[in-house]
Amino acid sequence: MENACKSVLRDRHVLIVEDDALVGIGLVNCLEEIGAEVSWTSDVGSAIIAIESTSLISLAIVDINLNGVRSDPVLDELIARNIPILLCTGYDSSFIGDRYRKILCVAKPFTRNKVIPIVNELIAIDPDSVISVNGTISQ
Amino acid sequence: MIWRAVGNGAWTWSSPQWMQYTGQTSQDSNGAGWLAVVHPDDRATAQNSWEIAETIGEFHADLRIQSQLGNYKWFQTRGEPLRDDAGRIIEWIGTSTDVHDLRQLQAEQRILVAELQHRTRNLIAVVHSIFVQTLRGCESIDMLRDRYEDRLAALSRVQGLLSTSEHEPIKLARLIGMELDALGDGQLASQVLLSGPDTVVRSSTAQTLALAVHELSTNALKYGALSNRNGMLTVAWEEYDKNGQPWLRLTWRETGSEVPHELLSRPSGYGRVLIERALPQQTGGQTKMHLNASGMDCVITLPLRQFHEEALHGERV
Repeated sequence: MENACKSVLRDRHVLIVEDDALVGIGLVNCLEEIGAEVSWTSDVGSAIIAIESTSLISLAIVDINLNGVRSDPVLDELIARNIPILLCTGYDSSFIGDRYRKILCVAKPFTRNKVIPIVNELIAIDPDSVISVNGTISQ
Repeated sequence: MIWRAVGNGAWTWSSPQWMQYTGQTSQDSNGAGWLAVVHPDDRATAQNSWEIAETIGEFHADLRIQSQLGNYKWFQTRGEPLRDDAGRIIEWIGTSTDVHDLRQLQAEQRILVAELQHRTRNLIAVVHSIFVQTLRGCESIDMLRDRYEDRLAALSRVQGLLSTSEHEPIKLARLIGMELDALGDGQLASQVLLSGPDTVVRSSTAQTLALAVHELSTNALKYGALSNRNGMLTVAWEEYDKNGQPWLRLTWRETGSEVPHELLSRPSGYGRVLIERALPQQTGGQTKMHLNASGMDCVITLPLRQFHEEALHGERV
């Protein structure tokens, strides 16, 4: 499993948008361990700057609520650029707007066993194809 | 408000309270006239409830009813049938009770429950992250247990502060004092000097800052100024202006410890990641940590307000 992930993630750039420092650290470590290059931002403004200034983002992992501010502008920017997104949230799915229903969503906490197969799958998917996974990913 | 009706909701009488609230006369509300003051979105609900009323033997619907001032309020409307000796329904007697405040409280409660769920899941994610980070530096189960319990205790203390932060802002002095008291069993007073203004810390900063102070304190107790009776810890802070925004500069200085320089140590592993990476990331500030001849020095700077809070503040003014 891990080797398979390494090959998928090696030299791939992953953007993390997560406001809680400890949760972010956990995610960054988890992804760096499997070979990804990680950028980590904590608010909408710096996330958009990161998206605009990073040439190739293979995947973005985005918290829906950033210190009480919804991350919708970040999601719109990512969708416009066809960058695969993994949403993470502490709310139930009703909190996610209808516009983002198609985006794969994982409830916190992120454990290695939960995240790695999903990241693997998302990155392997051709970014032009539509991700039509609803709630959980089939393995 | 009381009313009488026949058939499928054809009113025959309404009480003075109905007329007073809605502004309708008795003639206005008779027949299907009462529907005119029911919110357009609720009229189908009212009609559906009448259609099944005879079958189930009662009328029951929550409807928004317009007052004569033009605003709508929620009313719980119930009707009971009066029957003749043969059991046939002669007419309906009903009441409409104002449940507007109750409905609003229920809506607020739903928001609170969603918020609670969000916070709980986030906290579990934090607990999980602390565990994974702690696990990395541990060589034995005993070591893991001690360190993890220690960190969970610190997390629990700051959660205590956060739970009352709505009406009791978190003071920096209290946050630091709480950690040092907990670790030193209250025995460190003579070796610790805290000095600074009455600074209040944002809730979003408090958790990470408290955990960082916990790591610094633990390090001082194990390897630094607080590991013997002669060392001194000074924690001083000040507020300053940076581009028109209030910032905090906190200086942690350990001196006079008799620990040989080669044995002095600074936080490593989880503690270091927390202080040098997580804290600046969370707050948008900076951390500088280094060892000098007499102990650990750490300078933490961070903004005391967040940009969007500033924006909201500006709008209110």
